[in-house]
Amino acid sequence: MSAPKTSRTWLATGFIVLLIGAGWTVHSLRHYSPHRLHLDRKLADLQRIASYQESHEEKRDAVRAFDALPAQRPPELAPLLREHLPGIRAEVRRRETAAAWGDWQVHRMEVSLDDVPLERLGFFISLAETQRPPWRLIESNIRATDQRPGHARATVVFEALSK
Amino acid sequence: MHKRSDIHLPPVRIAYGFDLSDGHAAVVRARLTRGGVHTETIAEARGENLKDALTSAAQSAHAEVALNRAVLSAAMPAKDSMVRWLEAPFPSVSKARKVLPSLLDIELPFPLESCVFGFPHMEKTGEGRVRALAVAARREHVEGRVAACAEMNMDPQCLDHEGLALWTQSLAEIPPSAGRRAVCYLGPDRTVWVLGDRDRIESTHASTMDGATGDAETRHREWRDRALRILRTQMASAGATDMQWIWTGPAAADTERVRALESLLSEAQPNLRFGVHTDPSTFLARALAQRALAQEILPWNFRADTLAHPVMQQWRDGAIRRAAWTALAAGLILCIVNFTFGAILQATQRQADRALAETARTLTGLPSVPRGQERMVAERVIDEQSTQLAPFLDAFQPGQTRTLRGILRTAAAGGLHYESVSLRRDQLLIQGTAGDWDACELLADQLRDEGWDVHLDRQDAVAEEHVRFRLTGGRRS
Repeated sequence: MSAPKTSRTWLATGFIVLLIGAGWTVHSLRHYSPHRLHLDRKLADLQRIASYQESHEEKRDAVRAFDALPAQRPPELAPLLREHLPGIRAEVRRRETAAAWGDWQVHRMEVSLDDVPLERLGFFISLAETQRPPWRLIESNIRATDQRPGHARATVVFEALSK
Repeated sequence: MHKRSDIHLPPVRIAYGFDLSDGHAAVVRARLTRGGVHTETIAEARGENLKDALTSAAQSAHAEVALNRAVLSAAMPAKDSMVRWLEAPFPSVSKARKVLPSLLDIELPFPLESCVFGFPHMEKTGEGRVRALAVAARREHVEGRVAACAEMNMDPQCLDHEGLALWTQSLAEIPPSAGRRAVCYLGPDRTVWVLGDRDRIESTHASTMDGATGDAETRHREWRDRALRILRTQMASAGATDMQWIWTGPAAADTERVRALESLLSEAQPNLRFGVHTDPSTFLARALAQRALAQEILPWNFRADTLAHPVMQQWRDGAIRRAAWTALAAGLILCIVNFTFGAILQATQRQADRALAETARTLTGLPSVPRGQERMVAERVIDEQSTQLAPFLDAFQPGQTRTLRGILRTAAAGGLHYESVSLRRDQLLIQGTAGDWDACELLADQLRDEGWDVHLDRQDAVAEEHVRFRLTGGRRS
């Protein structure tokens, strides 16, 4: 092969490589936007799921706090009533029970009190809420009685988590 | 036919111009500087022993050419070459280029195949035709000229056309004015006339003093007659009445001879305006050197194709190799950049995929989550789990106790008497009586502060001193 022919072969090779490089660049540029969009979508998903995880962790922390309690069932309300509201006619009735996370369940108890002093009622509700696990007031119906001022007929519904 | 790429010289900054006639030789070195072209006469010899006088200049030129720093350009005498304007009946230059050799063949007194020829300038005319300046010389004459130079130890890479060189240099040194111009190169043994109009070359003519006999005046008269024949033919065909006549060449330095010729010419042709180029004896060498550097106006080189100088071939090969390596390097760089860019993009995507899958798995507790459905699956599982986990969070939120105690406390403080209080997660209903309406408003404001949307209704009074009210509310979302 003569020298010019060799040079021309190199020139052709050079231009083919340049063409490939240019073609590849055009291809990369044309496909960059879809790739970028796809990646942005993934990152947005990741960010969203990470935020879910954060709030989920908060909930798990709450579960762990309950798991760490020494007792995993709140004290019965009837004995509490007898002890702290003596002489007041009270009726305790079990309401619905629903499944919660893991082995935990949500219990609802309805307490009907006849002619209860309102300040004693407030005291009892506070007392129930300070139990571990706590009872939580979710509903209350109080109706005044004609007999004595400051007294009422009350129906309160408590909710508590227990195993 | 020479292609334009064949006649191009290397882009050097130094060029040597070599003017060789019988009894005279000049070598000029031109150097391209920031301020322009700087020329320097490095040798000029007259008489018999030109070769020895040129030894130093030849060595200097060879040394710089060998280092690829310079080119050496000589001239093909006008008597051994020709220029012609041809007109092709095509509006397209590329089409015209195909027929121009045939048109030139008609003009030549010898076969075209025995010639080195080309068209250094082509232009479209207003009539839809193409005009081309043809340059040609017989191959044997070109080879002879190369050999003549070689005898002087000169090996030119470029063999320019003498007429083109004289014309372009004349225009460069004395800018064109309106009217016609004749550049007359007076050598020791020959004369070359280049005729043109403004900046356009029209024809070249050469005459030798061979066979001239008699005294100086007789020889001058013979010379004048030849010059007038050429001149009058040109002026008659162009309808011109006057002409600028510019002397150059080694014999133009002889002012006595020039004056004698001017006097003879003026007797027969009074409308001639005479002038002389500066440093006329090195004019052609200067022209050749400067044309080799600039290669802009009517570039030409008879040494092309098979007659090309080996250095030129090497230079062209080198240029091709450089272009090849540049293209190869650029291509490879592009490929590497693209590969790296693609790899980084893919790695980032893989990383995002892995992180997404891992986070989704941790969140859902599932052993694997289908690719691309991480968010959907995670949201579904979160929804399911939220219902079960809500009571745990609720346990840490303030319950209704605070609201209820507030309601009861306000009653005691504001003299409100409740007939019924009904409080649920999102609903509130209080009915009763109050000593005045302000106490009811106070209760409503307090509930609003706790996040309830309340509506207070005043009802018919039971007694004059009591206001009956009804307060309803909903938890503000």
